[in-house]
Amino acid sequence: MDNVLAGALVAFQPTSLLLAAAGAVLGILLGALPGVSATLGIALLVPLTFGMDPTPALIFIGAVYCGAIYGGSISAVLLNVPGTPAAVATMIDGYAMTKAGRGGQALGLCTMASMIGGQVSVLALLFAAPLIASVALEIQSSEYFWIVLFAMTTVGAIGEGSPLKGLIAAAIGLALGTIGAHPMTGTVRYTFGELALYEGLPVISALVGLFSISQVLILAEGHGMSTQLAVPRLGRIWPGWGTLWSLKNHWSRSSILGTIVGLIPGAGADIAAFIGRSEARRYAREPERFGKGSPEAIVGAEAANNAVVGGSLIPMLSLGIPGNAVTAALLGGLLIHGLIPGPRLFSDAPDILYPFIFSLFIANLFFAVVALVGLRWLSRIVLVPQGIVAPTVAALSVVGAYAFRNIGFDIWIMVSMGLFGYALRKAGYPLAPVILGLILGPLAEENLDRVLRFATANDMSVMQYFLSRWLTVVLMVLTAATLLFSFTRDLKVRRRASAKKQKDA
Amino acid sequence: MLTRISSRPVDFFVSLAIFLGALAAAYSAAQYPGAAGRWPLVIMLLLAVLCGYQLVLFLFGNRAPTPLEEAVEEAAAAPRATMRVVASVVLILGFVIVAPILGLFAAAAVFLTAHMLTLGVRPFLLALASGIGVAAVLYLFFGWLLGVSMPDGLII
Repeated sequence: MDNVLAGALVAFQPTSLLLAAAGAVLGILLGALPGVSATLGIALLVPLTFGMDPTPALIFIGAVYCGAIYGGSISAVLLNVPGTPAAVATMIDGYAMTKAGRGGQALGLCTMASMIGGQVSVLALLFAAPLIASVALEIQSSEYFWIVLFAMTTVGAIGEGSPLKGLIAAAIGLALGTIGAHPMTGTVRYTFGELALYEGLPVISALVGLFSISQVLILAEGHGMSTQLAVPRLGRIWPGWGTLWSLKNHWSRSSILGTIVGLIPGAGADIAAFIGRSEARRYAREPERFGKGSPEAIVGAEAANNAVVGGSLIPMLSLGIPGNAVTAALLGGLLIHGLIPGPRLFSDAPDILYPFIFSLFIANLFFAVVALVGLRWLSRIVLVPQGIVAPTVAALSVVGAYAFRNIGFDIWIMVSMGLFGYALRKAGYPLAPVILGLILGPLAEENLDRVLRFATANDMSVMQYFLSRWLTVVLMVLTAATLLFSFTRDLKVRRRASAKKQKDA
Repeated sequence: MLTRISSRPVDFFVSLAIFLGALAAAYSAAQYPGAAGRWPLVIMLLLAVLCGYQLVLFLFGNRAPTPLEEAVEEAAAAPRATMRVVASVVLILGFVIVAPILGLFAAAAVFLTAHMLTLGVRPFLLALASGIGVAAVLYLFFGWLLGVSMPDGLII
């Protein structure tokens, strides 16, 4: 309790408030820019925080996360172009309201629903994460190994595109994680004599390259080069207390759903938004309005997508398992400040964690206030041409990658990973499993090595050792079930696409 | 088979490259002594098997591409888009090579202006002003505010 109170006091200090406000505003701007997602924004900003102390750095990055997930709805509603993937579900009804001259009201609903969803999830984070962390202290190497495998198969199976390609991407990440010296024997693997790779592929450089440089090349293809000449008229923004109260069932349900979805590895804000929207439709008073400018649809989607923020941080902070690319980027931020996420983080660094959690409450409040007051001016960010955004992201990536370790080779790693990421995206492979595999691969190997030693010491085979622990067996079954589900889903998606093609022909 | 490769060449060649890379890495892993080679060998073989299965499905399976796969292949088809991407890669590589010579921020100003012009930002003065402006902001933030030491160059 002392740690919680101390954390709250630190979060309310003027410097912390300023950082939370600055992060929230920057997050809104980054999220609103089409082509710059929350993941890209955080990947770019993590190296920038290297020179800061851990607490203010985390407060800043956390606030950016909250603001960016909301910010994606601005261009989605005003221009029918989602600023982040999470805003696609909002775009359908939000843009319809803009065409009807009620864009401001749509954005007002997005703002309040996002804030409420975010606050509910951070509340869950505050109570659930320390609880899970204390239980996780009982988890041993065999469980950790299978938690990583389960997380990787889930991340690969859920998400856009082919589940098989998702699993391949996860395996690529695990493969990249083998670069460097083996922690036990010191044998150097796949470094080609380069000293900078001795400790493994630097996560920050890989993260920035995979997401930023690849996105620069996607933007360079020119499909978003046209400049918007004007922002549509917003009209009234504040939706009114009466409207908000009438939608309370939707935002409360979606907030809980989004928090739960955030817990699942691989299920990000985009999936949460669609689930929130479809559940809102199920319980809607006017389901026929969905797709034509329904406030219920907007609230359902937006509350869920911002609720993912707190939900996704629960496994990341308590177990050290990031569930999506954004939390992987945040984990990178923790690592560069010498913090190892996992069960011990709450006991080793409560003076950093609790201010971070409380600052998320503040950031959610800040972005809502800033948006309601300043949306008429902030929304003009969507007018910045992507021909200016893309080179800026590239330059920031190069400078940021160098600023991290002051090693020139890191820039080459970043550019190489960027080109690799671009090739993967063009071939339909998702990137989130790659970065998650890179981060979690060494953890899996370390725990497997320990299991092998325990098994040998107890005169058992590895499989016998796994089967001797009930929690490990549960995780093994879940992993197998996820694999089966992913292959079945891949089959169904392709057969459906094939049937559609034959029907069109 | 050739029709499938020519209709979605990027998908095929990237998958093939990953498959061959995984096989080569598995061979290397088998040479590492003891525990050091165990995990990489398992992962590389797993990757090779998954990629091999993907290639078999691609070449011989009676299944259509997913909507996402079709969308990315269509996006890659336009030649002007390809030229802009190639130009972007060349400019980024040029930036990284020239930065230690010219100085990181001076090279950034040149890169930003050139890249913006390549991506169609007009008029020229807008690209120039934006390029210099962004480079100046980067210098103020990294060089002055954060105090990060950057490689010395001829300019800054």
